[in-house]
Amino acid sequence: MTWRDEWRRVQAIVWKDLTTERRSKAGINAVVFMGVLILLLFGFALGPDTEALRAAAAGALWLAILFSGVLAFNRSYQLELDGGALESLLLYPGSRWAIYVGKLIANLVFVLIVEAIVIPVALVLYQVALPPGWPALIGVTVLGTVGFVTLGTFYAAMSSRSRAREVLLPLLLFPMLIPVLLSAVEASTSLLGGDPMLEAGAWVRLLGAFDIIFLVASLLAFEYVIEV
Amino acid sequence: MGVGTVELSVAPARARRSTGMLIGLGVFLLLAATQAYSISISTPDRDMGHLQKIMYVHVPAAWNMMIAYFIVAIASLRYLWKGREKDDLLAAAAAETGALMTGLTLALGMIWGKPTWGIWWTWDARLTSTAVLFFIYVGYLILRAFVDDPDRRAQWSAAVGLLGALNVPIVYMSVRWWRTLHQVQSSPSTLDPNYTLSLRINAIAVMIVVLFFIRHRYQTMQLEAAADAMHERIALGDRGGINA
Amino acid sequence: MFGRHGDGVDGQKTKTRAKPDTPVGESTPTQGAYSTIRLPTVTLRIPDRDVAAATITNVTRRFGRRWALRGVTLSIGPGEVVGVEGHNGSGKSTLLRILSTAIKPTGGEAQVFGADVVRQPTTVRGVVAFLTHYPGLYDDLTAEENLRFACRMLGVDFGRVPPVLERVGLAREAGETVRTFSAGMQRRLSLARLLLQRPRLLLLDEPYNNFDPAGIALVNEVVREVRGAGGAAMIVLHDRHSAGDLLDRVVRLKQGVVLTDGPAPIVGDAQTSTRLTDPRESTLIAGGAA
Repeated sequence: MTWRDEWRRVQAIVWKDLTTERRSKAGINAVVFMGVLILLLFGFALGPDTEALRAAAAGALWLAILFSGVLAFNRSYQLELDGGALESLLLYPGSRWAIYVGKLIANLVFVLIVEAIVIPVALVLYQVALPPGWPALIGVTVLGTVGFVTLGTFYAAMSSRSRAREVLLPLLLFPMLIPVLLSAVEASTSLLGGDPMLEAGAWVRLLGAFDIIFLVASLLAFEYVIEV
Repeated sequence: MGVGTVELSVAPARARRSTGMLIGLGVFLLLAATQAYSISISTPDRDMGHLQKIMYVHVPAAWNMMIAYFIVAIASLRYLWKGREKDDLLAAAAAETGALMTGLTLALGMIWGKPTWGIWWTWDARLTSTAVLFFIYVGYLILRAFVDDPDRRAQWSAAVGLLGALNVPIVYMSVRWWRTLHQVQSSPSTLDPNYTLSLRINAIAVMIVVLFFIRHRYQTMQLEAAADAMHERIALGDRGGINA
Repeated sequence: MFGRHGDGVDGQKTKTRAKPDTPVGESTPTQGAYSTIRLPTVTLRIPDRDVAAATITNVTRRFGRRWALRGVTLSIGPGEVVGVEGHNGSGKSTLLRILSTAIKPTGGEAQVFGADVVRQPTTVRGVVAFLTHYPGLYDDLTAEENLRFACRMLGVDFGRVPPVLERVGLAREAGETVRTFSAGMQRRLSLARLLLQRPRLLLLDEPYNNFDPAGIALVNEVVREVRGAGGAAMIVLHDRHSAGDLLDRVVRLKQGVVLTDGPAPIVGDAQTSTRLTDPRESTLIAGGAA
């Protein structure tokens, strides 16, 4: 099997997952709605004080992303399980990691679309003005999302096929994501404040290291997880 | 044929049980002795009084949970490599013991923190990262509880155990940065030579306890697996008409 | 392939859980009775006898505490069409899934055209086509898109899609989503997916379910084509009449072991359907040998 064959399969899976998602818009609508709802709830929980809201904005936003995004991962496998498609999918010649990468990219696109809607809403709700270094903020968001989706896609391959899948996924996933949450929130917060202490760089490096380590580990371990 | 197998396997199990009990008794006597020694030679701390003696369990438990998690990682890796059921059971036994030690560390830390700092919980770097570790390995155990098929459970939990182990240093580093960047100082350090010695001998005693727990749970799980297989064989023999 | 049962007895593996001795021993006498009749008919059809289409040696499979297969030994020659029968839970589907590489055997080994299902799964996947119980389709994609996806996964040109759709009689519904399809139409589309590749071993799990007479004829036509090209087929079925004269051999499984294995016409036509519903399966051992 050449790399081109595998890449063709990756593309096929991305196309198939995204087309399915596009046809049943219910999924993305619900997830976006969930994200906005969580932002709103945080606003109520933290009170109407603008200063307090602004200070907590990055944290609230990331929690909204995690809690709404986690709903997407099980769905991504549910569509394979519904008509017994997973077994057929596994019987095509080719490596298992191509399936993982395909699902990973599709989930990444999905979560990034959700973020494209939820982040502006957060900026408005919490009255945060974009700092001049906003492209760096986008970079941090993407890096954090990659880490989130990498592990989410990996753990959902198990949770979607176990009992009590709705509970199991967050239980497995969220403790593992604490480094991602910490780095993304800290980096965003300091970037929003103009990064006076030049802290963001260290956090971004940690985030990058996390992404690479778990991307490689998931690629290697996916075969063991999907085959049984 | 089924009956013969049962008798054959029960006898060594019984023998193993009595050895296990003897070893267990020895292990706990050792722990009691090191505890008693440490408590008797230590003078009450200037600030904390006798409260400080909680450290003789708290610190050794914290050190030794790492040994348990190391065994989880190694056994998981070996399971993925060789696919042998016993590696899976060893990983599970070590994860249970590790989670127990982590829980003990957290509970004792909180009991110590309340009178010392006046609070049950603080977002201290070590406390926080230990809590994260606790959740990662409890997640591992919950996954095991939620999956019925033994092969699937073994393969999945090996993957989860490995990724969890990979995350341990990253969690520690990120939580430490998170705290130090906020300039909050934590635990005051006491360096009494008696205290250090006591910590060390208790750490060794707790390590032996941990290894005993892992060994014990590992053997129990092996017996359970063997009993399952035996049940199955007897049931099939009766129903399937194979040996009729 | 002719000495397949002998192989099974000798080939006792070190795997402790396999219990192949007695079941194989039980089916040996029936086998001996048929071999003289079967040999000439099979020989006629075989283009290449060097490599068996599938060899299954002492295969066991455990699901949790349940043993679905407890030591099955079979061999399928090229050009052979084998029916697999048995009650629910007798291990028919498990056997097919092992040959397809969907699951790995707990013990024993299996090869498809010389490629081992555990060690060379990719090679096996290239020559096997498996029609599962389930449609294995994506509901929100159209019929054409489902096949195009399969083309991409298989590395086959899209040009194969229209003729295949035409062949299974779905050309007019090509642009409709599978969600709107009836069970029979979904079944046709699943079959269409198998036609995209050129399989050498067809594994069909209850292929006649949900099919109308035309669909049944289509399935049989596909099987004949594969056989004509030197391939082989294994068909799990409950109703042997649908297969017509297609079957060269019928293997009956019971609780994960081979109960009988013999040429199709002799194990009985009309009587079999009544026997299949008989819960006291054990009478079949005597019945088959008689």
